[in-house]
Amino acid sequence: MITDWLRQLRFRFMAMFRRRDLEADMAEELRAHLEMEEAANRRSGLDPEDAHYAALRQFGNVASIQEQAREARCWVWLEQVVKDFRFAVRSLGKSPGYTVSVVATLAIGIGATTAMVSIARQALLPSLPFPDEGRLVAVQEFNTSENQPCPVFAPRYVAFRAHEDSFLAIGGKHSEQMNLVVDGQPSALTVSWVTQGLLRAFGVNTALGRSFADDEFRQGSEGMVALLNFRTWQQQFGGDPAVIGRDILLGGKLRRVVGIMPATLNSWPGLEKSWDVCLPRAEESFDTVDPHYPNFENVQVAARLKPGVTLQQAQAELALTPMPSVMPTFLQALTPRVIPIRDEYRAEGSRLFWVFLGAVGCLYAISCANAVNLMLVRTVTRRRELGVRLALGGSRVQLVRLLIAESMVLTVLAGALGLLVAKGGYAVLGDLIGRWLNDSGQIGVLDRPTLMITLVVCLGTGLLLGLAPAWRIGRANLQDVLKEDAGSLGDSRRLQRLRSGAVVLQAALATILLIGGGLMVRSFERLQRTGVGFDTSNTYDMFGDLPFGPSADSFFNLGDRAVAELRRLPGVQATALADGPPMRFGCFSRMVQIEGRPDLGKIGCSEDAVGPGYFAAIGLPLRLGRDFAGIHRGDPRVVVINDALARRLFLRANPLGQRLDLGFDKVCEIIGVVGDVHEVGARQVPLPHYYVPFGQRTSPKNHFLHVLLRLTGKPDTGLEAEVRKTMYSIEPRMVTQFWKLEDDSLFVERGTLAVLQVMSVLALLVATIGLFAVMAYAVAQRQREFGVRIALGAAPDILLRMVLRRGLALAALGVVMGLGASWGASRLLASVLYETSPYDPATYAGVAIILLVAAAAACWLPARRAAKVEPIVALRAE
Amino acid sequence: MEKLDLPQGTLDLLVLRVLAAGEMHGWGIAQRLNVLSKEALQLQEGTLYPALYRMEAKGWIAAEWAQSENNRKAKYYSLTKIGRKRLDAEKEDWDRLVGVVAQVLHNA
Repeated sequence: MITDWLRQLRFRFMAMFRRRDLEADMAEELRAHLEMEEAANRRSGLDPEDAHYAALRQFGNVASIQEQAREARCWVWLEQVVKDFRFAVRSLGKSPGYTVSVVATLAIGIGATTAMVSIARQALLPSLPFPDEGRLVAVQEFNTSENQPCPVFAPRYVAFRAHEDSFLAIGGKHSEQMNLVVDGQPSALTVSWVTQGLLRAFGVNTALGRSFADDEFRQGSEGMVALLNFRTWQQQFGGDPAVIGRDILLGGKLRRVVGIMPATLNSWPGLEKSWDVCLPRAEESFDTVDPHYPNFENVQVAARLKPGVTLQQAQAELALTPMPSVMPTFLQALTPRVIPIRDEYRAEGSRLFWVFLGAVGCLYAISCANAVNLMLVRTVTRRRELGVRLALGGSRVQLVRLLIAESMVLTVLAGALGLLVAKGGYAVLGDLIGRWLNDSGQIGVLDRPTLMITLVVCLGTGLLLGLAPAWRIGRANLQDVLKEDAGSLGDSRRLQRLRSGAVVLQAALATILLIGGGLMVRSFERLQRTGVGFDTSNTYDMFGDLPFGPSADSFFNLGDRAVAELRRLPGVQATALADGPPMRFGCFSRMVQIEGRPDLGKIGCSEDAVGPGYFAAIGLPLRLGRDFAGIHRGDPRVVVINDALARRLFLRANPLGQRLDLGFDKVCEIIGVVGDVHEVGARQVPLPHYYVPFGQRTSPKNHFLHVLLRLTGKPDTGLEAEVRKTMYSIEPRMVTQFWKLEDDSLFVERGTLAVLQVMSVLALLVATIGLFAVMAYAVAQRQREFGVRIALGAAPDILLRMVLRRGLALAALGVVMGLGASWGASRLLASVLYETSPYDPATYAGVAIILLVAAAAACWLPARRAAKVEPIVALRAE
Repeated sequence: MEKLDLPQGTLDLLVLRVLAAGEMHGWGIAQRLNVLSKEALQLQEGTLYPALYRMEAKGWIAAEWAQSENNRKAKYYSLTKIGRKRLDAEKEDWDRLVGVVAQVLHNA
């Protein structure tokens, strides 16, 4: 039986290519049969005519037999589909204007959807490259009194670690920036200090070499060996396996590379960014040795759940951890949160992708509504042709198939064009989104999943859109269509309502998009104004690495010279020394208190050591008091604190002149108060911070210094080279880096803004074109009516006003609906807006005005055409 | 006697049987069926052709153009080896079916 079927398959397949021959063959055969029957009838005495008809009667219905015979031979339905498509292509070719407008509209919608879906897919869905990822969790802290997340401090981590009941393994990670010097060329890398528990929890094996041995985690021998990120290995060492076993100069120390992590770790955005090199660290190093000076490092905690333990159970168990006594009073209301690991590594703006997907969905809907409109219009134009087809015996199913074939041809063409659009979109947005998501350049590649998505979207759209006119045709009354007088006034009310509905829908969706975009613009504006607390425009950082470790005197000498010489470079307005750039993470954490007032509590702060003129150089406002006069290598000890620290310790009292105990027997007088720097990014609450003079740094490291430069404007192209030359002339052994201070955290907002802006513009464009098309068609349909009106004495501008009014009414209805929908949906947007209410009236009003203006513009031309109709021409027109 | 309606699939069996005797063209098959069934089987001759094409597609019969007795061109069908095997199989099935049905009808 199966062999029969296979043979049939082959036969039918071959038959597709020999259709014409087979037709001729069958015709010949049947004719021969009839002739023979006729001859036999004649022989039995009938006269020729009767013989002929008798033969026919005996044979049966020739046409129907032929149909059946054809079906026995080949796949008739397939041929039919092919024929449908060929006809569709032909008829589309005959109306190029229609084809082009529909394809263009759909290409925008499909292209944008494809681009966004494939980007979002990479951002939201990929699986983490860890074994049994579902059991991997991150532990975070939540401050219930301030109702926001809080970093995990080392004492808490130490306490959590004791809970082995829920976890197979638990470990911590602390990151910092270090200089890697390869062949005299320095680069800044993110280094993660990891505990053994962490590596065990993640359970990732090295791709090359080995992981850390147990004794390498011992306190005292920390950081002497290193694991490299795959990408770092490729970029810095050219992927040379010989680097394993070699020493590299990292953070001023020689460390031996023992292994390379697998490349799969880099496929996950966020994860890749968090470490370039891994160094081992003893668990005990997080402990607090002296309770007077506790260790308050921030620790990133990850763990692997024991089989059978749920997130909630682990969280409940951790919640029972007693608060360590060294934790300050204001950090007592902390509860631990256990979350799946992918939530921790999710790109920060992934929530935004849902916004993006919503926006692109709107755009897609708009372009589909537009296309449907155009298709319905065309159906009406063709109704006579289609009616005749029905009359000649075609079934409605056939007609529907034809219409669907047409719409599929259109959508496939649009899809192909849309892929080009998507590629363009990648190029435009790729910079923003790619940098944010995945540096390994995976965005922009039209890979198989993307193409599959496009295909599905195309065919789906084609089917959907084809059904609209098909449904219309399906219900058409045959008689009416044929009887219809070509000169009758316009098309059915129902069709008009449908088209008006499409226009209203487009206007509503465009409104939603524009409001979303508008709100983001305002949020971004506010964010930029609040910013990071200091002026990032034209602020640069020169970072000098001094691996040879000069003496204190030569170090400060070097610093002075650097500041002075860099100040002299063209375009440089101000320079200042510092031990780090303003917005880094993982800097020194200390506990401070008001001298002699332990009852007021200790506060965990971070410290910066800066030279004179630092605050002015980075544009950090000085609120009270004064700046440092010099480096202040000796006494008196002074300190400048930030707003956050002032508020915490002194509430509203004047902190100037008060004395701050910084621990380690260092007591300083507060001589000034400056504004807050939002260290972890513009959206976070500023942390308490204090600044000591460069010469009074708590932990003098003579291995590097920073010089902050403020430029008068955009830098010259040769500035970096000048800076390097200058620094080289001061100290040839110093390795220099030079970069602009940028607020990376605003990056998310910028990306979102760009995407929404592009989509809003496209949506506005498409919606306007849609409105124009509908109005133009309506006017064309009503030409006769207008002609009659003019002939009867109506003034042309009355007609113009009529058309305008109708168009604006439709658009206004759509806008109102859009405003209402935005109101309802704005809660979704609230989470990504900064100090902007999702009900911001200015935005809503602005968008409404823009859309109505666009609608008016769209209606203008058709309206003018209506007014200029010549009565004679109109009355004669068919 | 009224015309009998052929149950599904039996037409194939009959055609195979006819062709077992020798190759024949479509009209000839129709006449032969008529004769063999003593005129009881009055099928519409045209319905032969879909069946013939179907069997040709399955490989049971083969077709060839040739000169007919009246010096006309006609398409002759012949049984293939596969067709012959099918004929035997189908005949067996049919006999068994008929036997079972008859037994049930007469003895139930």
